[in-house]
Amino acid sequence: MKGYGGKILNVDLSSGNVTLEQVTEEMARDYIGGSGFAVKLLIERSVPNGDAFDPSNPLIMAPGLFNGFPVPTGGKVVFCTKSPLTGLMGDSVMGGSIGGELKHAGFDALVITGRAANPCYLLIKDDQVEIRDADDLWGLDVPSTATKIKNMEGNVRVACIGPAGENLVRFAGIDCEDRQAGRAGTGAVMGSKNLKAIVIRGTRDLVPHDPTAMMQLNLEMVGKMTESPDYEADTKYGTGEFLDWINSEKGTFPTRNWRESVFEERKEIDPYYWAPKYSKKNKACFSCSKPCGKLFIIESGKYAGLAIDGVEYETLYSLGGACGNGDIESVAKGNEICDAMGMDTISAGDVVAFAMDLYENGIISEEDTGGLELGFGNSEAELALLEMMAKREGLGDTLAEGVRLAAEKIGKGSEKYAVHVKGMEPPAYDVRGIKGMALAFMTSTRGACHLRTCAYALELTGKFWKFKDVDRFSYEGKGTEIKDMEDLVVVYDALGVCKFSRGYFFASGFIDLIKATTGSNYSEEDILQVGERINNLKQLFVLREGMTREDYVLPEKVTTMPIPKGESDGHMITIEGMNKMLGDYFDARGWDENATPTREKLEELGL
Amino acid sequence: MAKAIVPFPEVCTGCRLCEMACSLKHENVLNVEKSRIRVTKEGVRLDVPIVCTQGNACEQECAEVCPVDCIKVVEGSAIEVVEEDCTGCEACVDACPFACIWMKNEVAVKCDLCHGDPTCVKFCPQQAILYLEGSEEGREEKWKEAKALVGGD
Repeated sequence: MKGYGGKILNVDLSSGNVTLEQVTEEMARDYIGGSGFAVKLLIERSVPNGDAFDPSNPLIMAPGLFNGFPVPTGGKVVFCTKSPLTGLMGDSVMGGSIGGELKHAGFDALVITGRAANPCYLLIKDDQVEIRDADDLWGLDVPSTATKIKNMEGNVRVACIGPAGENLVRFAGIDCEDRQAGRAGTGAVMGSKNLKAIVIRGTRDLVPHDPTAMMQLNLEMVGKMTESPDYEADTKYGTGEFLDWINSEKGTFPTRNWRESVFEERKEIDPYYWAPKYSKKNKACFSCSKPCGKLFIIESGKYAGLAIDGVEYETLYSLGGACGNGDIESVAKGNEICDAMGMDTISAGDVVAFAMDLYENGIISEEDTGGLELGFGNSEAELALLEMMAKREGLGDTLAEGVRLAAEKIGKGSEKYAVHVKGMEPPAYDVRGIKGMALAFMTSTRGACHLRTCAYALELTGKFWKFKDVDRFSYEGKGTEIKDMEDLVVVYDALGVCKFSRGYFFASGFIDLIKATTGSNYSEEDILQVGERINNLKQLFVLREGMTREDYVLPEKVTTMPIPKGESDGHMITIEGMNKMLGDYFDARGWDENATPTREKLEELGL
Repeated sequence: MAKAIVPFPEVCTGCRLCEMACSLKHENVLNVEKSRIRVTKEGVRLDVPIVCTQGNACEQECAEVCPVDCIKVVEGSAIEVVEEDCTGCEACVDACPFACIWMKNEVAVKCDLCHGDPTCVKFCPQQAILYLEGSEEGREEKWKEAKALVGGD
């Protein structure tokens, strides 16, 4: 099959067995690749209702269809497993170059099951697949692990976990070359398998169906992106470009664990302040013409020598505004700690913010924190707590469970300070002032997530794709909007295209690119139906794993505490509004009132 | 001396679109292993394009050492390998100070500037490689800087 590696690689770490199978044409047609393949394999290969840390839980890595091809921003690969944080769909998408590397080795998916008796790493060099001893790597942080493996194995890509993954921190991520599959705890599942790293070198040709069209279409797209009036600011300031707009003009930048949604001390964490001072150059993933990464270097002072790829918008929120921390150097330091330890910056920052809220409300004290004065804005305490979480020391051990489980353990009314949906800590959009995003947080199969719809941009600007005149304060019309956005953006995860370029492709923009890659003809409707199919399959998975209608609920702060000031002053989500949006969504999806797809819908999608 | 592809590692993002474009142009496949321009990535700090200087920052060692004289230096265009005449002795590979010539199917291959319209340069989104008069004052330092960054002498 043109455009594909062609094979699925199955590795059982318990037995050491390695098997190969072919990707069928039917699978390629119906699921395209990336998250489509990953979700299909997860539901087929996992044991229903198993624990996320049980050896039977598969960890699946699936490159998007465009990985390895010069499609601008087309280097994204999905890691997928049952999430230890939510108990639901744990799919997390990583940039960088390792997706293409796996395809060049000949594989469109890697399925890892079992648990090794001792720490190991998986080595894939084209046909050569070996499980190797990692005793002397266990305990090392992410950069040291990658360096040590590269010294042994040469020119390879290393996707690895840090101490957080080893310690089963429920929001541990997987890192490869400063890019992360951060969310949902994929790194903890790797740790539970005694798997320190996935090490890949692929040298086979990838053959496009139409090399001439492949060249021409992508050259045009590079031109379209780089000549866009937004390009300079998008790449100079990265994903945090709109931080102050979201904060000051929209009043939807969650602050101090969602007490407020305007962060007055934002000056330094705004990229318009820090990029000219600390960013030395732009950094890109493989085949990306729109580099959002920044080589962030601190040359002097307390954190001299720090060099990271960052700081992303979500991290400016989680380690910045959420913790009341307006000091950019310490935010960057927190980013470095999370990356080195292998923790999701979003959840990690939210968890610290939750602990700070408990401290300020007298639910926990210095006795619990090991002497840390954990008030909002204490950046040194924040950094210390991040380390404690990764190492599961003291209070960090409880917090490493994520806010939902930590609140259950701590009790004393701490639940009302635990901001999460389905166990997932939220990203940087105060949904009290963005109603459609509130619905999107609830409907996402991995809990509070911005990237399963990207509806924040649509809601905040009022227009995107086929939508216009959208009112972010209204409950009307959100069911169809969120359903359609979910079906569109999951296609990006199947193709491996970054959502930072979502304004360039939409569904119709993929028709010619898919044809040039594989030779297959899809209409716009066909592409969106693949998206709908993947989303219904995700829903079948989470229902099988025990999610019910009762789990479609927003955090107490969102439904009881109106935003206290700023441009979204007075807004919150009412229970009636929440139920109206959900009802409209289930109708739009063709699901019953218990969020279960109807037989007709499943038959229509061939499921 | 010919125009040549000049590297500007200080703005290279490491996206490697240049390598992909090169292999697609010359081989009709995607495979950075087969690219004639290479980007070295190391840690978070380094992304460095390495490409033939076309004699602008070297002594055309490849052509000098070729025992059958199959590497041609023509004023105003790229240094090119006459593939039919190459015996596969690899003397040029050993001689190139920038490691920009290597073997494919027992024949030496190198950047031919796509005969005056380099595809990689068109794909570069950040102007980290530019097609310029290589002989201009001080420009040879750009190749040497790139080489020094990746640990060449």
